[in-house]
Amino acid sequence: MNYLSEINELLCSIKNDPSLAGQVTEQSNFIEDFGIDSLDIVDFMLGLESQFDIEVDFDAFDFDNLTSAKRLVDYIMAHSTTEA
Amino acid sequence: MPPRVYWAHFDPEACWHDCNSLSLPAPLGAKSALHLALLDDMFVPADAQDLSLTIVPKCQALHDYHVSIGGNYHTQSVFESVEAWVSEDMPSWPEIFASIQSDAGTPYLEVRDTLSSCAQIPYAYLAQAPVSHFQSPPRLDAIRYANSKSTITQLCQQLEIPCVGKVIEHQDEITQLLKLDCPYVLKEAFGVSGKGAYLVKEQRIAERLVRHFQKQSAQGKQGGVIAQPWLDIEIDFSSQWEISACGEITFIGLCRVENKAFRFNGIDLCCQSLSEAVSHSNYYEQIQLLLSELFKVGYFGSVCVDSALLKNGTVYPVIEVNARESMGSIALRWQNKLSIGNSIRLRQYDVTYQAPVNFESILHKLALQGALFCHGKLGGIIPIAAASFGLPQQNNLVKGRWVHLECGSQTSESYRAILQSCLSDVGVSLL
Repeated sequence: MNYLSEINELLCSIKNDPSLAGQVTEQSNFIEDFGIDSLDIVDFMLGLESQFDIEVDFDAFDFDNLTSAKRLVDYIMAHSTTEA
Repeated sequence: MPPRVYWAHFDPEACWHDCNSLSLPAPLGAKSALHLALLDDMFVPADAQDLSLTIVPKCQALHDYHVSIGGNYHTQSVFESVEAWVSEDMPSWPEIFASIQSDAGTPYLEVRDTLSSCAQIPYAYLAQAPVSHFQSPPRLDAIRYANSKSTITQLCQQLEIPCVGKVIEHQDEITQLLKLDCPYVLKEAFGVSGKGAYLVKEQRIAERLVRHFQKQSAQGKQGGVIAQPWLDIEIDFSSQWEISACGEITFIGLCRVENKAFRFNGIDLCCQSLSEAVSHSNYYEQIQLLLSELFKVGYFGSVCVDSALLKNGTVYPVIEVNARESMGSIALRWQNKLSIGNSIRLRQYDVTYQAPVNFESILHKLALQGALFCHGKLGGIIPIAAASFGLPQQNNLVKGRWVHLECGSQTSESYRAILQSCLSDVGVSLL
């Protein structure tokens, strides 16, 4: 599974901006680089759940997971039951 | 009459929120954007002898410009510079007030003395603020009552004022969210534009959120969430009111609110057709009834009532109540301050920049383009906030917010295009 590519697809959908395709790298900060704001975050987290078959504990999810794509991928892998 | 001091904190709902209430999903550690603390410079005093108390010094070039078009007032700041504020870890007003209440408050004695020796005009009441010798604020429970979307919905329903919504108070009511027709809007009791509200588009999402709330409920949290139907809105508008300490209710003004997907975009003060539609309903009677009830529970001060004109032509009187000042009241204050006629719009845009920006050069460029309002001109832009352009360089681009008034016949789009060009020249990107 190409996590970055799938997260990028989700990002394009949430931001309704196809031009973001191919923009996500391991260093990407979703807040500062792509303007994910407090209104987008719920959709983004719910999208991650659907895409990667995980259940996020919203009250324990660390904001810093959104400041690095690598960190977010690590979070998803740690919580995923799907084979990579 | 005592001197008056104006101060503004733009995230009071976070102070009023009950941490034992249910809350929508939000990551831990998410903080308010840095620049929001510095927008307090747009809360303008009414009279020339009044004082604007801001966290960092008011931009001298912007203040001089305001004075040149009739906007006189005194200024004072908590910190002597943005750098001094940053070196103290960028405290917001609640943190400054907490420090004043503790032994660590010594650096803020001058602020405490100013606030206690003047009559205060706050953007919103904060419980920790030093009390003025001349007035007492409402009790915190009355402030919370007047601002809670849950209590306001229940109060409107008691008063038979149209305000449809399902208040979730107890654990066994959470599953009722599954019975509501999608789409609907879930709001926290103290949610605001931009956060604390979420559009539930489909049943699958409702089921997921119910699981989230049930988990919070099992941990002892309850209440504080309200579901409102998705309204077919033609025009969002708000009305501004003042409840005096003796209960007198004064209508301040009406304004059209430009929203886009829960995001606040701006205010239009010229809304003749809207005013006519509203005056043909019993809107004003309904709101005065509601406000008189808020006074009975102990609230007085500024109130902004968010309302809507629906596509079927009916006026929907209460979407929510913000018992504080608002962007609408700020626009009205500037309109009165500068005597610039009725056709006023307020617009705000997020910006990014690499290094602190010389605001005087922005004013100069706008003037060269003929877009800066000045006496003798029929229209133009009046910038009203500058402090968020002075944040120091960080690892990434710095975020700020541009806020201006527009008057005259040019459209907001044409003013935005001119602004974009001027800001680009000084290294600022308009988002």
